[in-house]
Amino acid sequence: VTRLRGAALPCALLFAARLEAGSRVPPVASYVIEATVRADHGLTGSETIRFTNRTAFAFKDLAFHLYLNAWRNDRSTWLLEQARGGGRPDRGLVLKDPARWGWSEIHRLVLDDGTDLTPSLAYVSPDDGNPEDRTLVSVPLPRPVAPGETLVFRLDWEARFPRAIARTGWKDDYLLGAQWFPKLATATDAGWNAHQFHAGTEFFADFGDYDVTLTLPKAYKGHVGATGVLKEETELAGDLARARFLAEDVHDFAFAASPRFEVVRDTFSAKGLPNVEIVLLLQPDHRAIRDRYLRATKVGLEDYGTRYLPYSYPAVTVVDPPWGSHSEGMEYPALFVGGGHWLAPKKAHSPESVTVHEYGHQVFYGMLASNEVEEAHLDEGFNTYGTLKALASAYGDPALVVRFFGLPVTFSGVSVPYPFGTTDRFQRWQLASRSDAMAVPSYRQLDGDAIRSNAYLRTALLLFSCERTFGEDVWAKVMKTYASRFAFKHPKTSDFLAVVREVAGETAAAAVAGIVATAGGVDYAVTSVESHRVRALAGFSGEGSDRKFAAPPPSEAGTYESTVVAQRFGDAVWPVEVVFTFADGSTLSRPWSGAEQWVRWTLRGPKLVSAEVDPGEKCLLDGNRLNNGLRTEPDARASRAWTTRLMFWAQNLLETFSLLGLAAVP
Amino acid sequence: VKRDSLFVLASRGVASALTTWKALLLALAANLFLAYAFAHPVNAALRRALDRSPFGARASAAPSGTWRLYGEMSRARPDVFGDLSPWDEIATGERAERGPAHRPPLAGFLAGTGVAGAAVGFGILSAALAALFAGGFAGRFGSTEDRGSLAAFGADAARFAAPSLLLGALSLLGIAAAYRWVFAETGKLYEPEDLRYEWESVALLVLRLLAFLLVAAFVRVLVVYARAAMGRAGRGNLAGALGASLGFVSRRPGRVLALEILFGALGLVPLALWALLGPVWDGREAGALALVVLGQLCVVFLRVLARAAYLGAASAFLARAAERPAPAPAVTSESEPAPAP
Repeated sequence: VTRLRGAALPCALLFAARLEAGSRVPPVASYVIEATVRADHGLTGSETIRFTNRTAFAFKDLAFHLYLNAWRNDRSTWLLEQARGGGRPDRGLVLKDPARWGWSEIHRLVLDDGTDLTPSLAYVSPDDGNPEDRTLVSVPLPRPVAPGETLVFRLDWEARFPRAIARTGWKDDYLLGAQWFPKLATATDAGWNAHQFHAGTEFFADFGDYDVTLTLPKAYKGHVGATGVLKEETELAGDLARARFLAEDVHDFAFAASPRFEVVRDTFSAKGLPNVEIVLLLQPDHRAIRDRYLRATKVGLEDYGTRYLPYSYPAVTVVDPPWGSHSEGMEYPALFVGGGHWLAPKKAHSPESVTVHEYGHQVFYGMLASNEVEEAHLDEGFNTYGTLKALASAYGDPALVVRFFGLPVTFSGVSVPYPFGTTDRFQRWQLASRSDAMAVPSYRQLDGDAIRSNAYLRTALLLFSCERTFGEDVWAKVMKTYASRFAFKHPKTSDFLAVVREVAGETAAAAVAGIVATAGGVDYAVTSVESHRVRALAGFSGEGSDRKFAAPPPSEAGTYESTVVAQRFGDAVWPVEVVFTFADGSTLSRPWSGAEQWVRWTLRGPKLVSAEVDPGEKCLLDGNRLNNGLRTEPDARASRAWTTRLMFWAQNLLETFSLLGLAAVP
Repeated sequence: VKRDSLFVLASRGVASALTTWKALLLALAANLFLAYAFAHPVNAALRRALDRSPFGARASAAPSGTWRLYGEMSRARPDVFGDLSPWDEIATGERAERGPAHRPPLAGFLAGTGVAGAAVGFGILSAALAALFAGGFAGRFGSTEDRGSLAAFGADAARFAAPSLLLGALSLLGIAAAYRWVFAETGKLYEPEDLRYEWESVALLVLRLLAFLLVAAFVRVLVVYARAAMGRAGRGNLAGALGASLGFVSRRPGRVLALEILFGALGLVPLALWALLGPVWDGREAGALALVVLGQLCVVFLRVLARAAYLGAASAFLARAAERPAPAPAVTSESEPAPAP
């Protein structure tokens, strides 16, 4: 075992080419990998890992992820969870075809002093105790790695990529190499943050530098993209080719290869932002959307760069995956996978939405490297918020596009506006599973709906609600402060809440913390409205000889007394305003903290027409907009407009049964 | 212009259908009545939800109002719509992403609730009623007298009720079987995502759809000509009518298919035009509402007319075929002299 303190590194030569390494973040886990990928999608490789303990914890063991073992057999935690969530665990994996399954095995693990740790390797399942799961492996060390020490070790392994599933593996001659090498768990002050591979969550790792040499069949030469910069590419004997990539200050390394890739290069440049080379690896049947991919990447670079954090690497690789590859929409440092259709109407905003979103992960995941396994909302939710803002700003609202038998039809008249288009999806997910608060570690949440609901749209709509409630400028400052303060760190929810408190104040922080802490929904309703004319006193007044009786006649003119009751039906609390509209056209607004179960307002003035909680729809988390307001008098015009249309379509639907042949005439 | 050209047959069909205008209006009224009953629960729910809510007025003024209202209603009142995914699957040809991997096609229809469930019952009821009407139309088109008489129409509808309903049931079963075996089962022969390109998958999907539509069209054609034959014969002999239809259709499959497509398109044109160009009532002027409702009724009437005209055209086609002289028997003009003994 060699432990080195300070800058004396035994692998210094391997990293000599770096000029900027450590300029953004001191490396914790750096890799030198040499791997050969065969035409049968098998892989043999060796890697040298240099781990520098920058925590206060002394590590007595090592823990590695072997993600490809999620598809080793159908007892893996990943496949069991996928089946439990109602998904189709067999998608892509055909039981009788061994070439469609994947696995990964460490053959040898030695420290750089020659100590062989291989016999001590043991699969562990700290999350669910599943003895069949082999996605996490642990090995005790002869001596702990103390804070500040560096440990260097070498590892030989063999693996097979599965038929592409969950954004890794092959389809035909396309290969997405993701989660493909034995990867060190994340070092924290509490020890290793090491989880098994779960179906609903992603990844978490330490920053470091990667020097990766890939040997592939010769057909792939010139058609490989990866995290980092291509340093050299050579042909080898035996119809092989070799490509070497260097990446600095990243926490993962992925590559994509296909002889059919058409390589398109472009450069992003915008005032105040660094230039970035864009490498698009395009499918030949997607030439029609080439420029849309490039523009969307630039939209992401500019919008996220301005609002949150400029892109920090010289190049970004955009992978356009082939049809049926199950690799659409995934992010890795400096490389992301988009996804587009052969026929892609512009108003559908696809591939734009997935491109902007996956680029956005370069910020919320790539540079703000939060824990995707435990706090998936910090990358997916924040990034969904960023995506929707960028798309709305660059493209406007999309239209409804429905695919009929694979052919897209655009309903131009039906707008699906940002961010309301996502509100409905969120509410449906939330209805399906209101089991967990965002504060519950993502991998421990009940099911896929709970994870998706919390990680993506609940968070995104929470951020939109903050923006609308506490002010756009204030919220922009919150997001920018958070992004710049935690770049190249591992931020947590508590870090974000601290920024909210600092920039937007205690009320905002309390509102956000309240939503994070509850599994319940937001639902405010006006349950009663009354408005009566105030009459002069009727009955007796005065006492003794002054006692007088009065019976005032009803009068057309006068003041009205109106009573409004609003209730909170949801468990979650959000500060809202209640707006009262009067017959003379005037309105009155009253703030409500939203905390009480109900509030009653009594107002004197013109006749009340309606009362509504949050008519400006500042809180996008409200699960039922239909009950937010009440009129004192019914108005059937809106319902009549829709019932008229509905009747027409009902008539035609019944008529269509005849068209389909149930009978010849009508 | 040939007397049995598509144009002439279509024109004769439309002319025949127009002579039965009272029956057409009756069919429209039946459709309206059924549609009212079918849509009533949704209409009532809409009124309950919107008439006292300011949301309705705001949503109706927004370009995304319909979309948002549907979202809110289907979440707040899931009982009203029920599970529409089986219908969505039929309409788009896309299997539900998260559904059970091996759910049989057409599963879940009969167990549906809300609008999704009611559509099955109302669809069958509508079809049964249409089958009864078809008997009446077939009888009138087969007759040269009293075509406009509602009483004669009713008498024909009653006379042909049983065979016409049976034909309707045969048609329904035939088309359901075609969907199951021609469209759905062929989808199990390949894994779309294993194909190299998306367009290959789309092409195969569209081919399967076209194959299903072709079989369904011939099922419809057989039923239409069987009804027309029944009307012309004046007898409710189901087997005889089907036999006549089969013989007629098998001799001229291209022509009858062309007529089927022509009237199918004629039935869809008014709907497509209204969907694209038709006005939508904005909830303000009552006079405008009356015009919109009248326009909507006209569209449905034109579709009813197109369907009746199809039967009229089929009847005319049968009549025209019957008018043609039978082909002359083969005669030997000369005989060779017997060889000399």
